[in-house]
Amino acid sequence: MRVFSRLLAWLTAVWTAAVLFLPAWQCVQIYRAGSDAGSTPLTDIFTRDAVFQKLESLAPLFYGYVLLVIIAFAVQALSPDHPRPVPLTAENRLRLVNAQRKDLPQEALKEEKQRRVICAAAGAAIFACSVPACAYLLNRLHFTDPDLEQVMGQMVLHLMPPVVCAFAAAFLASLLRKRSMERECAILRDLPAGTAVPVLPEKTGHAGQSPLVSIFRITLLLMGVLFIVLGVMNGGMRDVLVKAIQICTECIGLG
Amino acid sequence: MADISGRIRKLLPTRRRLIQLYAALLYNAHLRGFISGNIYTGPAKALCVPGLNCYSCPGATGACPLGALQNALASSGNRFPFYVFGILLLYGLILGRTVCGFLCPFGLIQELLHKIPTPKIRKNRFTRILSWFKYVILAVFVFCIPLWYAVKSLPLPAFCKYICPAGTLEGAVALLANPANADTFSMLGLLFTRKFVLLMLILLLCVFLYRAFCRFLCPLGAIYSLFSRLALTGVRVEPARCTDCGRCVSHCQMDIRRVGDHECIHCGECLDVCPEKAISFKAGRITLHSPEIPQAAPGRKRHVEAAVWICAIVLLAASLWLVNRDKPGSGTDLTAADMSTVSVDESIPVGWEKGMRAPDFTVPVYGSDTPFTLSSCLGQCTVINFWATWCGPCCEELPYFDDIYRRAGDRISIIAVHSSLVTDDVGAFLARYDFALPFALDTDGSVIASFGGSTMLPQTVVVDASGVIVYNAVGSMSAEKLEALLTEAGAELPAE
Repeated sequence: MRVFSRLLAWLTAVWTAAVLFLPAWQCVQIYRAGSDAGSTPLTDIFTRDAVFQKLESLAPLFYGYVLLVIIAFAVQALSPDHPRPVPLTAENRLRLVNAQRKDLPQEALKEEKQRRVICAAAGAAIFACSVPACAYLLNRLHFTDPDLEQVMGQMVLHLMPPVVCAFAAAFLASLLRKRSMERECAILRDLPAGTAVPVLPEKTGHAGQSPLVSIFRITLLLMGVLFIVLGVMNGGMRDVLVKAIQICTECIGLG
Repeated sequence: MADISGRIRKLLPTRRRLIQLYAALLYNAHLRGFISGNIYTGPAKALCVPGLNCYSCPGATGACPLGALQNALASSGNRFPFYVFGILLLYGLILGRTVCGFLCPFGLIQELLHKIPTPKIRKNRFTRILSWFKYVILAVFVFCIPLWYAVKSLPLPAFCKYICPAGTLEGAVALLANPANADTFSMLGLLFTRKFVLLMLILLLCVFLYRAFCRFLCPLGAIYSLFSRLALTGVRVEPARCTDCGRCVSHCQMDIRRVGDHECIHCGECLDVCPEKAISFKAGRITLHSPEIPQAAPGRKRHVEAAVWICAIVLLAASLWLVNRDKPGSGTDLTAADMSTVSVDESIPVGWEKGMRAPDFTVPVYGSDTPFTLSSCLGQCTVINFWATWCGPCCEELPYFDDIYRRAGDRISIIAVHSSLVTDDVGAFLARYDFALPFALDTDGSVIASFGGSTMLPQTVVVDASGVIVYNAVGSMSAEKLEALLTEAGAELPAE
């Protein structure tokens, strides 16, 4: 049953990819056929008949997919529950192992120092990558051409390399940190257990009930209300209404 | 027996799912729009809903906060976007990313897609790093581009135009699926092709990766995540009870480092996983849900919950009734243009469709005391372009009409009529450009109503010399298409 369930899951995955990929492919085909050399400015690239003709050809695939998904759900519901154990992150494992020690050995401290260097290097690399990207974005001259396709194309060409490099640097740093933490975990596990210390939980993501934070929150809330009132008075609310009651053709891809 | 009832209970929708469905229905209560193919144009659209819901969806009853923000930034040269900033500030402070977990229709769609039984890609370090990409999208497409083009008075909601899958799915696909909008297919082109391919890709990713759009691309989630430390509502960890075992983080499918951080959507799935029962769902100091509070809470709490659900259902029913009721019709008396000097087939009816005689109208012209009257243009081809300063594609195509006017203004009449929905000083807008083209104002909306009353701009109407409409459609116009239409209408254009 388990093997069958997994095979069914993979079949569903492939079929899902086909069901989503093929309409996109058909859309591209219609566009290419409609905008070829033989067409005139008055030729409609997409017509309802052409689109529905293509969709009709995909109908058996879609109906088969619906049936497959129903079967897959039924099999999943009937299969015995085997929840896979979710592994702890390297950070959590290290924190738990660390909690049992009062003093960290030299090798562990060296690994911690190495992680700080990795973080600093990654930060510097990300900053270095962000400089050309920001320089491009903050230069108004890059956004003056009325041909928006040209502007967007140039923007993607100029921004993609620094953004990709920044993310690559961050990912590399994360991998190196993970290895360092795993090494530290191994070092600490090999040593005899020290005196247990109370585990100090990391601060939660929320600022809690600190009075300063409460004052700041109230101030922002009042500012929000004031902004809304000012927005109603200066016509901002009407702007939102005017735009919302007209179909934004470019927003939905009609154009 | 217990096993079967347990399985059945697992299949039932959770409270969070019910809230998500409720929110999706409330945001899209204009159900008759799905039947008629028209969008809701009532006053409720001045309010922004908290989640991502395209206002061009036929069912949408409110404005999309992200679309409203971009349009507000695009108009920031005229007025500071206080209203949209205020709305986002309030939503962020009160709800934060609880919106993502409970009140976002597109989040619901992603979660439902993820339920399809396929092998899944679990979160890892790569996805954690990639989750920062949505801040790049926010900075570039939501802020930077609209602001730069605001300087040129060209409204450009860049995220909506180039990326937003909610717009493509809820707006375009929903409108195109309606037979009443069959003519809209003629507007599709490269932009739609790109957006449709991107939509399919995002939907595919959502099947394998939990909330892929939410985690990696959604700028609205990025905005709400800025309030993660301040939001009143959401999951909270009690520090005194937490042993930092990390089970909540491992169990969570979002890229969190700890419960309640900027990636947490406060779905509450971690509440039951915590062995110390240290996690609860709170609104300020009030605990809304905690594993320690028994499910079958007696008395007062059950009554409060029932009262809340009853109020919610009453609100939904009221919304459904208000937005779907019949509105009094606004008939427009169509009168034909004065045919006294031109011979015309009077058997042709007056109307707005191709082949009908164009209805006459008179509009005031900017910078001139003489109004424009359609009937005075009989004997030559006339082009009427309906536009607005807040419509990006309209502003982009004005130079094409201006160019034709400069070349052939003595033999072709062209008039650009601004929509009655004026948000900026049109005169000041025109003063920034050196257009020779005459501009007019549809003061009460009757002119555009007489030509079909579409809720889409731009709209172009071409009338031949005898007053018969040869073209009337919404959508962007290119220079080549305009010349081809005029040639078809019998106009002679000089070479460039």
